[in-house]
Formats: sequence, structure tokens, C-alpha cells
Amino acid sequence: MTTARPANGTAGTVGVAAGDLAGTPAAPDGRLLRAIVEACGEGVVVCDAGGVVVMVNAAAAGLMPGLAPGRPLTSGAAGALFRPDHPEGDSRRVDHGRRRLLVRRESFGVAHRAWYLRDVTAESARTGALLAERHRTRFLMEAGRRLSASLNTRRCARVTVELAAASLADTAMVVLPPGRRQAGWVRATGGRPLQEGTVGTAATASVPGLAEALAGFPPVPSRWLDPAQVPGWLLPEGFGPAGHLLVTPLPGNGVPAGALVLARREGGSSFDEEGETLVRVFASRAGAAISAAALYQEQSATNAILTADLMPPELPAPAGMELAGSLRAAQQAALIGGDFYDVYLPEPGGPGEPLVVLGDVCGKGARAAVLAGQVRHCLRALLLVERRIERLVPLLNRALRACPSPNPYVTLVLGALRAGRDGHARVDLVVAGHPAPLILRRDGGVSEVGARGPLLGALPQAPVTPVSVDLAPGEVCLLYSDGITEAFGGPGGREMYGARRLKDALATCAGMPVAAVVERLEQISTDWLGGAVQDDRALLAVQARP
Amino acid sequence: MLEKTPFRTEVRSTVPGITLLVLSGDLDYDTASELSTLAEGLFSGDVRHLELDLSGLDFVDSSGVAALINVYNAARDRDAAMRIVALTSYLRHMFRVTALDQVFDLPA
Repeated sequence: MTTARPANGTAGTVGVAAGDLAGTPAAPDGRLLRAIVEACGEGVVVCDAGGVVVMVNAAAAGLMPGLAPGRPLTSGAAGALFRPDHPEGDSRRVDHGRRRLLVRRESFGVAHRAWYLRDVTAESARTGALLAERHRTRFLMEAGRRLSASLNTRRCARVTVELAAASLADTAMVVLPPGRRQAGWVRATGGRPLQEGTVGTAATASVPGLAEALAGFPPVPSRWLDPAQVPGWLLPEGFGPAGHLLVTPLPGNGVPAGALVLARREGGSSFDEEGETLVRVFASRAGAAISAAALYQEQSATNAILTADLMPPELPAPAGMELAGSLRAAQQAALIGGDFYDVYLPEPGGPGEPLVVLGDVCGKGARAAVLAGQVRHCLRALLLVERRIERLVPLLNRALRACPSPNPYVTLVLGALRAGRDGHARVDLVVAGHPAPLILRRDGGVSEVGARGPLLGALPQAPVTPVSVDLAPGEVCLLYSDGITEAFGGPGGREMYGARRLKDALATCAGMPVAAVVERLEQISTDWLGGAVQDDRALLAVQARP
Repeated sequence: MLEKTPFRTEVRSTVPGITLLVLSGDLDYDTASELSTLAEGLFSGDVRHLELDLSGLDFVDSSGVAALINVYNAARDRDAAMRIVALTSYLRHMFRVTALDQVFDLPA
């Protein structure tokens, strides 16, 4: 576009060859070239073949005040910038004082070399900050991913120190919340196997800042902690003296989940403000993971204790009878219902008959487990003073009515077992709000015991009338929970199993040993469910010994 | 897997002085508290006669039975009356087994 350029432009003020007016390109003269170089934002230094500066523009002089025409290029502090081995055309980043410069060398003929200097300090800082931020984000994402993968406190602590030792310090230790006597710790050190151990609770006070961190106080800056005071147990063997120490609390859900202790070797870089902030963010993630794991473990342990109260007892074989039972708890802990059965034997040589109970408490989960446990223990205590089943049930009703927990409702069947003559067995039964037991006769006939009574815990009175059942050898009295009859499944998936099917299934069990009867019914019920969500299912069968 | 029928409640007041509560779906462990909360609200208002239509209930578990007992007890505590005006044969059987048929006012 040179041909169209107007003659009175800014370039004209420094003189333009006359030929330009005629539209013919002409080389700019020395003054023009000089002005162009001066106006350049990049620093330009031109020197001759001998390395003596012949020209320095304003930008270059601003960056290197020592540069001046007539002086050797490599004299003074700037010498390191202009290395004779700098490849032509190549740009290199060179730190000069507090600045970072981009240096490029060009040759013009054999006589002149030019050095171009660009100040990239701010640009580099921005790029550096961006890269550091990216690195931090990646680290925290990786931390989040790995920490969320476990619900075990030890495993979470291990992941925490592994991540910290890989990115934040030379050695990293998690000290878990101390117990009355000792505190557990996990330590990772670059290139060494993970170490675990315990330390006396009192000894934690010897680490600067650790007692405060374990108590959940905010972290103090690393520079306030004297690494020389670090006790020997904190660092791995052969680590050498610690140069920098950082102790950060691991915040949990309202309670501290321990503390993260980081150490860097003497001579290593200290923890700067950004580094400490990153450690705090990391510690809050690790703390959340460890405390969630701790809560989960605590809850699992509590659930295990609670559901132990639902565990059926080993069944004895009272004189002349065989017992068999099956209790299938719902698969999910939160869905555990309150089905239970139990057998109470009289004291050896004491009066009374063996009692069996099968019941179902209202609700699910831990509350149901507690209530079922209460009912079983309550019955055990009441049996010390009352063994008549028709009296036991109203007593239990009163006890439940006085129970402060919400919905303390229970349905159950209580039976007293007595050996009769000629191998017969007699079962006295009371039914309280529960499906009535079924009787399997030798000929395959199945009938329902004609007894009923109110569910317990809901109404002021709970009158029940006992019903007596005589079992000939081989005949079975089956107690079951509604989890059996109300199991949804079948071909369509949403059909209730129902009492009719249970009776039909029981009829096919005539002549079988009682353990086989229970196993068969349980199997049929499981098949009916076909893997569907299930309630608790309880079966307890009494057979006159065949 | 077992599909659950959503539990629904509907309050109608057709005859002056009588509130009809229509329940449908599954009244179980997951939904029983809805009924208890609803009943609390009704009785703390000026409901003196509560009628329950249970004919739309597909399933009631022990928690559901507990919720019905709680509604009954809440009514009694406030000198209000609870009457069940419609139910299924499955529920009638359940009330018979739990002997609640001798407590609840059921249709003939």
C-alpha cells in the first residue's frame, strides 16, 4: 500500500525521499531508521563485530542503564544477558535482577548484531500464577477424588499423607484424634514405605502447635513454629533436621479429625502464604473425609451392636420336640425390621415349660432393633415372676405403654411347650396382633390356630385367650411373621405372597424333619421375592419329635 | 425391583362438620409420618369428626398401622371422633389380625 500512502503523514516530518512522492519506494534514511528504532517498544541494542555498542534505543536504556554507545556490550551487570553463544534468531528468557527478559539476537551482515530485549516480568508472573493455580486445582481435585473413595478412617489418613508427601512437604504425618492414652499416626515420606504407629497423648504436646491443632484451633503460620523443637518421633529415621514445620488441624464435622503435620528438610523452601492456604484447603477436605469415615465406622459398629439384639438364639431341643427357625433380616441396615424370635428355657430343675416367642416390632432400622431387644429382655425379666402366657402378654402391654419411645408397638405369638403322652406335644398359644400360627398335620392338612388378640403397646387393655394345640409325632406348629405373607414378588413382581400360598406350601412339607420344613418354606419365599427389596422374614417351627 | 405406589392424601369436607381424609398408595415406613403430621394439623384446627377412606391403600405395614393408631389416639385425646368409612378386604383382614377391628369404628 506504499503507493497510496499520503505524503503528509507522520513519517513525512522526519524527511522522506523525494521519490516517494512520485510513488516509487525508497529506502528510509538514517534519521528515519533511528526514529523507528527509538519508537519501538522492545529494547534494541546494536553492536559491531567487536562487541562494542553502536546504538541503544530508549527502551533498552531503560532496562539496562549501563548500556551506552562506545562501551563493550558485555561490560557491567548486563554482561550475562548477551552471551556470545546465543543462537541467532532464538529467544531466551533470562532473569535480570527482579526482571525477567526475553532476549533475542539477530545478525545483520558481518558487521552488526542486534539484541532485542522484551520485559516479560508481568507476563511471566501471570503465567506462573496460572500454572501454579492449575497445579493446585489439579492437586485438590486428585485429593478429593482419592479421599472420597474410602469410608475407613485409617485409609483416609493414609491417602492424606501420601498426597501431602507427594506435593506439599518432604514428610507428612496425620495424627488422629488422641484417645485417653494414645494417638494413632500415619506418616508418608517421599520414596519410603508408609509408616503407622501410636504415640502417647502427652507426647503430642511436645510438637510445636500440635496440641492446639488437635484441639481444633486455627493453624499458626509456619514461621512461628520452631522446627528445632520437633521431637524425634515425629520425623522418620535418617530424615535429618527439619527446616520448616507446618501444623494444620483437620476440621471434621464439628469436632477435629486430627492434625496434619508437614515438615520440609533444612535448606528446602519454606511454607509461603499461598502454600499454607493450599495446605489449609487440603486439610479441610482431608478432615471432612476422615471424620465422615469415622462417623460411618461408628455408625456401622453401633448398627452391629443393635442388630445383635435381633440375632436369633441357638435353638434347644426341649423334651420330645424339635425346633427350627429362620430369620432373614432385610438386606439394607436402614431397612432392618424388627422381626425376632427367642426361646426361654426354665431354670434347670425349676418349674415351668420352655416358651417360644416370635414377634415383629413396628418400624425399621436402629429404632426397631432397640425395641425388639427391649421386648426380648422385658419378657426374660417378666418370666422371673410370671410364666403363664395369658398373663405375660398384658404385662408386656403395660410395660410397652410405659415405654417413652414413639410407636412402641409389637405383635407377637407366645407359646408354652409341653411334652405329652405317646410322643405327642402340646403347645399353648397366645396371639397378640400377629398372624395366627399354622398347624401341619401328618396327613398334610393345614389349619390356622383360632386365636387372636390385640397388638401390644397401643391400647390400655390387651386381653388374650390361650389356645391349646396337640401335635402328634411329626406334626408341626409354624410361627411366622408378615414378612413371609406380605412379600411382594411372584411372576408379576407386585403380588403379595399371602397366607393361602403359605398354607399350600406348608401342606407339601408333611412328614419332613422340621429343619427341612423351615428351609423349604424359606426357599419358596426367597424364590417368590426374586431378589426384590425385602422386609424381614421370620419362621419358627415346633415339631413333636417324629 | 418392587415398585412403590406413591402415597397420596386428600382432605375433603363435603358434609358440614365432617372432614373426609382419602388415603391412597402405600402407607408404610417411608410415608407413615406424613399421615401423622397431617392428622396433627387437622385436629389442632377445628376438626371434630374425621372420616377415613382407606379403600385406595394398596399396602400398609406396621409403621402404617402405627400411624393409624396415632391418628386414633390423637382424635381421642381431643374428644374428636375417627371413623373409617371405606377399606379393602386386605385391610379388614389386617385389622382383624391386630384386633384393631375392636377399636376402630369400621363400616359393616
